[in-house]
Amino acid sequence: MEKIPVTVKYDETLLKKIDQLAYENFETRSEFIRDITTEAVKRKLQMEKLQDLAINKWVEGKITADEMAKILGVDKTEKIALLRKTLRESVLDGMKIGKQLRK
Amino acid sequence: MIIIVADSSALISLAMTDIFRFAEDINFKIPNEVYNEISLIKHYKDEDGYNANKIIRNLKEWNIEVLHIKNKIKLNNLIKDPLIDKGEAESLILALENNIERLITDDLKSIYALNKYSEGKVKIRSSILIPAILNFSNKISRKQAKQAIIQIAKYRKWNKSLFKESLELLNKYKK
Repeated sequence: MEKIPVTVKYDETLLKKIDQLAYENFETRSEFIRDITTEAVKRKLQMEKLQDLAINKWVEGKITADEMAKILGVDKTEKIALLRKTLRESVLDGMKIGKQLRK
Repeated sequence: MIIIVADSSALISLAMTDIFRFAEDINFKIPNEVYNEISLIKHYKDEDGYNANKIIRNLKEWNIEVLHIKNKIKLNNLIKDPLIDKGEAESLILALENNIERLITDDLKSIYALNKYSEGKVKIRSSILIPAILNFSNKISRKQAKQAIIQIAKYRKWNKSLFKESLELLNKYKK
């Protein structure tokens, strides 16, 4: 696949560390940055899949919110729980208002 | 007629589903800042931009009314919280100042922040409230309501199980 050049700015200290690690890995700066970003993106996507699975299991009642929080973190778990509550309440509230409007 | 405050995310979701035209019994109120956000988004060359453009062109037809908020001190206090932006803060103040019971938003961060500051006086809902209302007031079919909910959920990248649960709820109750 064709590689598209990008420009990224790093502060000097970080760039020195990148160069040092690239040297230790027998890679050029570009190769090193490409490898670690590829790895980071892969890991992020895997984590998202895992989080999606955890949410599914939680909605199905197969795991508790505490167990889900171990995968998603407490902050995200709270937000997901609130979104679930909001979606449920939106449908139930919509039914109530809809019936009132029909009368 | 039912009055509902909407923020930019909810308006864009609804514009995408094309169900505003069935919502003649709903009066949408938006604060100035939400109007400004939509006016800015309409210049984007993406789906948000396309939908924002539709909103600006159809404000009157879709019963969307732009109002000013009065309490600027409260606004300045609210936007000190990084979880809440100016459009959402103005939406909440608009609802509180005009005793409007419901505010719709589809932004996950906003749902969290708005719940925190609504003090239980305003019900924070998702835009899927609207297809549910329209279905139960016989303005759209069950199939249309479900399609709208699926479209919104996919657009907002919500987890499948979460919105499936809403669809099941809709199925469970007879009109």
